Amino acid sequence: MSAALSVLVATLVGTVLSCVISVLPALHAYNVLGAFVMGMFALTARGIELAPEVYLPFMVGMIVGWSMLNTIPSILLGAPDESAMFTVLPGQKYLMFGRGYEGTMVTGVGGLAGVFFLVFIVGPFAPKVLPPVQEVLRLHMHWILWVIITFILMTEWPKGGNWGPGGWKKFFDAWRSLGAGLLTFFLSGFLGFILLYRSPVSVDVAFQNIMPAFVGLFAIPWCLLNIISGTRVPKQHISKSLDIDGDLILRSVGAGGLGGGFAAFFPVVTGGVGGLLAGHATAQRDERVFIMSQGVSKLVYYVGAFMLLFVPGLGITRGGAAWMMRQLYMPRTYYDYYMILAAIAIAGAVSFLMMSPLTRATIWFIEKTNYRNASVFALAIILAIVYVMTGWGGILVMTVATGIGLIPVLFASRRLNCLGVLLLPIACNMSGFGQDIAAWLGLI
Amino acid sequence: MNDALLPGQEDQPRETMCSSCGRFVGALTRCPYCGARVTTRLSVRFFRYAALLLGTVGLGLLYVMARTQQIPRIKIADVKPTMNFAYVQVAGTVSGDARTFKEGGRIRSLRFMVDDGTGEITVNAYRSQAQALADAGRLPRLGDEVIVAGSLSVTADGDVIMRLQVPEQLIIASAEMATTPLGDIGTDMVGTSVLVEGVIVEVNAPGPTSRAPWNLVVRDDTGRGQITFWKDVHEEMPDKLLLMKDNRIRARVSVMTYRDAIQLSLARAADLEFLDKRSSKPAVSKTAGPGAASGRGEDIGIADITQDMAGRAVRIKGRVKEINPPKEPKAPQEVIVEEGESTIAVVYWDTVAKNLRDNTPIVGSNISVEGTVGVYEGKLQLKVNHSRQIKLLDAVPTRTEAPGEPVKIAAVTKAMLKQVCTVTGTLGEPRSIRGGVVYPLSDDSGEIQLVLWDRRVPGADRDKLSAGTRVTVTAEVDEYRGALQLVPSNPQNIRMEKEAAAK
Repeated sequence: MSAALSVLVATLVGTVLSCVISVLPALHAYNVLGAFVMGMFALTARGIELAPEVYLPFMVGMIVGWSMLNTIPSILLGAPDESAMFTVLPGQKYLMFGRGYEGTMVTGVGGLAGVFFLVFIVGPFAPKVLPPVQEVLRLHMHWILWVIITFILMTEWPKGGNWGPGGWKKFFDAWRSLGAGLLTFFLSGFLGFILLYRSPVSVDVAFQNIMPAFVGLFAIPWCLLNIISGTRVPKQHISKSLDIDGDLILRSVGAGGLGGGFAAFFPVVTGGVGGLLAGHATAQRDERVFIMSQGVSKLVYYVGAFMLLFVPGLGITRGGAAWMMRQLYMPRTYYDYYMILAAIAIAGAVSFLMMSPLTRATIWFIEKTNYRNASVFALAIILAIVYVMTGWGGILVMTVATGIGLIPVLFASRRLNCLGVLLLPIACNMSGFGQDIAAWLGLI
Repeated sequence: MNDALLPGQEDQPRETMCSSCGRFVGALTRCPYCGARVTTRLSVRFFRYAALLLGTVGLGLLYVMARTQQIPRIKIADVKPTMNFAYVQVAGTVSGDARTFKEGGRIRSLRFMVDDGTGEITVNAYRSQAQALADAGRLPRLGDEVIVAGSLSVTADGDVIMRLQVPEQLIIASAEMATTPLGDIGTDMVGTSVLVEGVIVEVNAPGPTSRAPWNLVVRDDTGRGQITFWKDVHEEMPDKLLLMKDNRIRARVSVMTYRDAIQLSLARAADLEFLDKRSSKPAVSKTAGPGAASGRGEDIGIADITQDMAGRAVRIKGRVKEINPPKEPKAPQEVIVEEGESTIAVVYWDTVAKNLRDNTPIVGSNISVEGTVGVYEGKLQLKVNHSRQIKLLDAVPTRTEAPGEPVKIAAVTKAMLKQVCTVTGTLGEPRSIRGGVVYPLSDDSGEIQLVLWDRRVPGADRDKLSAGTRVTVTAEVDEYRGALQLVPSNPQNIRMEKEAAAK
């Protein structure tokens, strides 16, 4: 009974804390979880050990809450993380029409549907179905990853070169965004190789090697863009109802569950990539389905990836949170699995209930104050986290990554290309020639 | 100040107003009223190229920095969970011989332990890296001083593994070792690596189906030692033929215990060196291993084989005197070969027997056998490990099985498949099959099918046989659909009772 109470309390604390993180633009739950894990190590070193029934549900609460509530800054402050990038355009449209609240709530409904999908559909079948699936796919992961990379690069479309007489000028205009996308992918891939083999980050915190790069590639460019942009947000309407129905929800769960599930199951593939693949695979053209399915996809990706670590008999680690968790605890039994499912359900319910008040509060904040201040505040927190956790080495990596992360933003190509930081070195490693490339580069 | 403004222009952005005289200037970059330059916002293009510059130059500098950065060397005791994925270097002593794990003939992974005095870490190398190390003969051995670099994997269970990414980042600095006298090796040296030198006293090869290791008993002036190694090590030996008694060897081995006895484990073939190559004469084989090619044994008379020759490969010629089927399921087949007054037992197991085909020994036939001299229960024997080592010298067309001592039908078992035996019994009612006739042959112990093929026992000879006739048959044991049968090779191998009695 006391264990159940611990789980309940820890889940609630984690979920409530995630509210603060979620409404700050560009602040990722993984940054905070990294700090939390380091804090846990510090406690352990002092002889203080927390029970898994405390920190596991707490982490679940953080992840579920953030996955659900991070939609608020994504839509209202235009500062999404890369997995929410597809919600930016339709989300911004909602915002500019004064329907930011509705857009946020529709995405939140998608998140809630994602929790249902995980708890009631994935949860009961995962221990039976996923281990054989993993066994079959294990040897094929590398070429699937290359297919995904090819798809990401080939589906970038030219943003210019549509008008005017033909010639080099038009050619370069058409290739400007495409070239920027390719350049971003390969520069970030190169950065990934450096970080994998010779990171300037101290070996004492090597588990956070990639964090400064992610902050630089995704978080800081958006903070900077928010700070320097001159967009004025129109007055927002708080609607009493949502323009959705059961059919739309089911279609969203189908598309988002597929994309998020794919991203959660395959190594290195993130929610943004999963969303891209699922969007093309299901070809849902309704804007509401699009927004809602991104809510499903994002939640299924982040929470599902963490949950996979707990699936008995599966034995795979996916996503940053699970990798950090492995340092603390190795789950093995159904006890852990059911505890995580319970925490996901509770955190999902609580975070959805907090969606409406937090969205209203954010809208009030936008209308009453200059919302760019929130970006400045978030930027300061991010810089502090990077410095405290990874030192000057991390700041250096973050600065370089920021330069790369700004390229797609300023040249109007996909920010998804920044994922080359993981996709390229890991795909090379999984294919068996990553070390050869690193050796050729003189990194090892 | 704002007298030049039109209604509504108060809300215009500051960039549309002259910062010197405050008048509205619109998109102009110079004020038409006072001539001052108007401050303009920075173009997005500027930020674009600034970002490109930051990204590429910064990455270039980071790359140069990474290339010149030394891989940090750590103490194993200092490894913390937060060091997961760290690329580090460790210097220490190999505390366990490298073990390779193979899959489909290729090395799948390689594992060894390194101890730096503060703790122990497992180092793994996979596939191409492991194969490269093995191909280069750079597998670390117990006691080697190494410097190794790789990425760490630390789990919540406290398991710390280093993954070697580049073969060149394993530096083995093994010091020249002094030879350790065999008599000095005791339990206090268990877990260490030593260099021993001595003369082979005994070579014990495992049976063809055995999973046991090879054993060499070696002696020097101070004592004896037992060197063991597995079949894969034996297969890698380029000088298998030198594995024989009285040859002098030097070996780098790990000291271990097995059933409370000291054992010297040879981890790889390269660690064994033959100090004298006395057996390099091509006509004289010193082979002692399974699968050795035939025709390399030393020709010797049966009478000249002595117990001192145990472990040596020899080749004999003689006449098959007797064939003794296995008495137990796992026992070997025994063929007694005689030459003049001398005899020796040639022994081989099922795996050899099944592949002998036309070279299956026949009582009375002349035979050539190459094998390893051994002693079993005080008796000399010649151990055969490959079917190629037995050759029937009589031409096959004239192969008429001389009748051996008749055995009971019940004594004919599957262990005798492809062997020739002699049975006496009574024929039952024949039945025709395509290409021949089948007679049931029975005695008081049981019944067996006697298959007379047209091409081996023509119809004219079969006509002499009828149900109820008592015959003595010398035939090969065969199996069809799980049932044993006897298949004589010619009519002379079937003798009716009167005929048999006359002989």
